[in-house]
Amino acid sequence: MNLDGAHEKDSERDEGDLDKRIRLETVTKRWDDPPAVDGISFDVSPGQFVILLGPSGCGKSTTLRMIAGLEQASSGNILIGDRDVTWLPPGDRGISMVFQSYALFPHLSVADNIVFGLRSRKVPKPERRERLNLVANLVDLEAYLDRKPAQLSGGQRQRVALARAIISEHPICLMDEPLSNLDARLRGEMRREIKALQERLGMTVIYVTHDQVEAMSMGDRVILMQAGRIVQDGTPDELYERPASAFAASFIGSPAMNLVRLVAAEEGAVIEGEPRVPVAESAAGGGLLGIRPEEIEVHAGASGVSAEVLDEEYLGADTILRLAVGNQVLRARLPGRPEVTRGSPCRLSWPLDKAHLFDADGERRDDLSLLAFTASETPHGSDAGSRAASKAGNPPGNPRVATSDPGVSP
Amino acid sequence: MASLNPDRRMQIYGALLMLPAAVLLATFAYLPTIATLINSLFLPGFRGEPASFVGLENYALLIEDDTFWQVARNNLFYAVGTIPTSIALALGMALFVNARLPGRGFVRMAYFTPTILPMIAAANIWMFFYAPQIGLFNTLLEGIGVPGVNWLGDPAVALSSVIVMTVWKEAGFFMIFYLAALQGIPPELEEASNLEGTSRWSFFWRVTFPLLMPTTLFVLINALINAVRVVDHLFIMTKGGPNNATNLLLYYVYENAFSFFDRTYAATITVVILLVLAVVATVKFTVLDRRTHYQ
Repeated sequence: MNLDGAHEKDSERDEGDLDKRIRLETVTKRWDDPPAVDGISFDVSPGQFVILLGPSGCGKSTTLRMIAGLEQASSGNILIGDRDVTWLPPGDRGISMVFQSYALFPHLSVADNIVFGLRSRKVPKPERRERLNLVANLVDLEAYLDRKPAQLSGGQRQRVALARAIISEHPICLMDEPLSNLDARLRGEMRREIKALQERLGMTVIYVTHDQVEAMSMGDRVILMQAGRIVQDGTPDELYERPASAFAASFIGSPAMNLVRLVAAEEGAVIEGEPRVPVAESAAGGGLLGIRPEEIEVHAGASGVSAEVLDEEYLGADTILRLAVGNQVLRARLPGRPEVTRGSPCRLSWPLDKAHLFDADGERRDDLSLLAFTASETPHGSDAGSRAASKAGNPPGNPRVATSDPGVSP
Repeated sequence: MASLNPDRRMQIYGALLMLPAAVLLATFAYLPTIATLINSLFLPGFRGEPASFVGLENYALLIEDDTFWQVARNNLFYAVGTIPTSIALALGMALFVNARLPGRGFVRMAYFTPTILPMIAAANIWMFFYAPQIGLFNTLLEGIGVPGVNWLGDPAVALSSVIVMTVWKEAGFFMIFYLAALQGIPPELEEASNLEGTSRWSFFWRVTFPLLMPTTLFVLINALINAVRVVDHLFIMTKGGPNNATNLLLYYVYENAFSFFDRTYAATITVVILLVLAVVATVKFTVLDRRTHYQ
């Protein structure tokens, strides 16, 4: 990584970006049973922005700390570039790190905090000053170099921590929930800044977070973890569009994907407590049906699953409806502020390619197929028998916007 | 009371809350200080005569008193011998027991034990260590064929012996303060510096030690006060001897007041001690405080 490309002696680092690559081979960390990190492997290619996402206690921070060398892996290998760094001390791995607490030295000025590592590595003073000026300019801290961390706002402290990480010009930067101490507005701002900085400097970043918004908006690639294992490893789109498991489905998206239990019935699997409308082939019974709230259409049409409006939550740009289907509750996100009468009946439908099936263990089942909705006379008609099974594809006559139903209107 | 406005009432309320502490402080600290200051300007009256005012004559006497200067020198030597050593030792012990260590709780307790012992008991233990014939140190020395030393009887080593005992007694106490301060330093600071390949030595001097400065300052003031407050173990061990070799300021005050019955001279020495302490404390706080980082 080069801040301005002007440092001659640093340019030799750029040989093929090899030193920006990270590889984990069945890395395990075990304090006691079960292991905190359980044999995970992945490859990070140079310049990638990789998110380690998961609920607290899933092992994502431990994984990051093992890459940094702050924790020793119990087994497995960690490679940076071509070097096996599993046993190297943190200072020899060529990485920098941003901590959740920022880990700024409270007694040192902003400038001294930023050049702390350069002093440790005995970089001569003129070069230190030159690099400090560059970095301070990059993160907008020039006016604050003489201040102590206590005299800075949360966002400014965050910038100091970033500056300290990038001044080292290490090709790899690890970030451990760096935005979780900021308020919501600042967080959005810093998300963009970190992403822009990473692209500009060509750093390889591994970023730990439990916030799916950060994961979706910043990552080139998201590794979702649960209980020390990788659940899914893919682009944000893939995680959103094709969650590998019910857990992945429920973790991404706000509000989370609806997961409803299916039971096998005569003509196919039906939503538990709503036996009239089969939604998938019989083999899907006992599993889960997942539909994102934003994919659900609420209307008064003749086809679809009958439901009842429980309540609504108005959010400004859209409204979240809670709907009872059978004995289960679904959320639907509708644009604007539809007029809603609580307790009114309506019908729900969704594009078949936007619904997901999971088996009883929560595994994604692409081999099972969904059934299209066919017209039935009234919202509460019980003519499930007249439905024809057809596989995949959008069901015909399925407008996204609700029509003239007295219960729901846009 | 109804005529008082709320502001006034709050002021009276506050003053009443402060009253108990103020009364105690005034009775046992301020009044005695003033009385001492006044006393130092008089000569004691004999055979029922009233004490006579002599102005600064006691101070003039003090300046010509060789014993006073010897005692003052002893005390300076004692302070220089005990303060840096016990602080360095306390810091070292705190760093040691702050690390991961088998039996850490036990080691911490062991370090702190001398502090719990009453001074008199500690002095008696050390009397046994220092005893010329049967003492522990001399027995050990004889074991390796080195002639024993009269630890408390030889004017050349007596004060050093007292210093060693004081360091032993105080280091554990100061360690507790350092240990508490060390545990207040977030572990990420060391991790962040490890990532940059900072050596432990460099991390200590650039981060740990500066962050411990408030504690060091506090311990320094305490150690200084302790250095001029020593009476009890001199009682047990040397009684200021031999030939005033271990006599320290406060013990000299005690001797003048209660052995020689020269209360006004004792008061004079006390005033001088107070002045010196006040000056040193002021200098410490103004010079060191400016360089100290408080969180």
